[in-house]
Amino acid sequence: MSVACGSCGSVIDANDENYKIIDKFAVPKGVEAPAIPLGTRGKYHGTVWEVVGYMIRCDRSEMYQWREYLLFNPGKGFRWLMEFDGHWTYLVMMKNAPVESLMSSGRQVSHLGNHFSLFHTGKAKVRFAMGEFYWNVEVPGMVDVDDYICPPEIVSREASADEVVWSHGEYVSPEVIRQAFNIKEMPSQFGVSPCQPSTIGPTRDQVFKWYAIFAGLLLFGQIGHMVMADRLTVMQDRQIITSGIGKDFVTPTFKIPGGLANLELLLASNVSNNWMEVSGSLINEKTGEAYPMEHGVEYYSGYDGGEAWSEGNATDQKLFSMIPGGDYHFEYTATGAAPETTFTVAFNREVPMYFNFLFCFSLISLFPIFIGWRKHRFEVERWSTSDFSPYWSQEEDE
Amino acid sequence: MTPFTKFYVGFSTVLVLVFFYANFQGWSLWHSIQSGSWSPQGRTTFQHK
Repeated sequence: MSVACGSCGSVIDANDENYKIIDKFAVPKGVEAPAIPLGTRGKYHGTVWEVVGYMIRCDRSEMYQWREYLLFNPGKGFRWLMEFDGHWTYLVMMKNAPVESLMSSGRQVSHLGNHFSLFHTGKAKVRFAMGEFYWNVEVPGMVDVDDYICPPEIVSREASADEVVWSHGEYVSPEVIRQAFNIKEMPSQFGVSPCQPSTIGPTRDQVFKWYAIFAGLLLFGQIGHMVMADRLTVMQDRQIITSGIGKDFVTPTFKIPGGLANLELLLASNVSNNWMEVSGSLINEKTGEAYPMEHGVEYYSGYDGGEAWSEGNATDQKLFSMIPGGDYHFEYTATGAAPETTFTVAFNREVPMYFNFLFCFSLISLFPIFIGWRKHRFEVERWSTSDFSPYWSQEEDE
Repeated sequence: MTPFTKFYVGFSTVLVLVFFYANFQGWSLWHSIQSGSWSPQGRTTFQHK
């Protein structure tokens, strides 16, 4: 057991009756005061913990620096609170080492049924220490560190020349820490912590579950609609027109069966390098209600530079929505530019529609796509500081 | 259920109901979008004389 003085940098052996100085380190300038002062007590997981030690640690390059608080409870022993960029992790030393394995996705460890992926490996050292510690603190006391994550949990391995220590940790919301230890000024939070749970995760799971249900309903409805659509031809009128002046036609009365349904106007012609159109009204003989309808076709083809080309179509159809059943006739004018055009006007009842399905399916897909993208961005940011990011190739592309 | 999930479920329920209604009534949503009118027919009629 040792006690470190944050003012003079002396580390004394607390087990020695003469309090022998076992180490002395240079106190860095502008060292950060602990956010939770030594001696502070707080309740976490139903246990009262007292902060007895505080360390500032960093990687070998000293680019990344984090703070560790040693907690003590007489009945439970020691625990750690680690703070990095305003993110907090509560760590417990593990009694048994987890099972290590090498998977196709990289190194992993397994603990209590969870698989932890390697996030970081490197060296860590102590920059500053103050308070009591259950071992003889050495500054810098360089150790090898491996961090494995399975958010919101983390498993860390610290290996020195003498021993290997495994710790299991869980991400703790800063608000929980603030309330537990009654901290007035919390460190500012930056970025995404390695073991920070995604706030989008639960929403994503729920939305994807509902998405599957809604997509299934739409698919079921569309299949049913296609099976039931009989595409019944209720009228067909074949005519001939000559060029120039529009010619008027009135079809015989025909019956459109059923209630409301769609109606397809089919215009089939023999136009070639020309056009024609029909314009008129579908008239309900009982109510007198008229539905204006017009449709045209054009077809052009030829050779250009030795290659055949064509555009347009001599036959085309147009759909009209919600036409009630009843007795109808179609009054229309046909116009064409060709010297003589033979054409057929036909009405088909209950033709299958695809746009409704695609439109609704696209709209219900927007939210899951957005949520999935947000979750992906969160994970990319989480792994951005790792050398083992599964997203590294995408990050480079982006 | 999170607020976002509730919104999504409500939104999608309305869409699915509109889809079934439109298909059963022969309402092409494309016509309504094209015409800029959300009346089901997406067109106007007149009384023939």
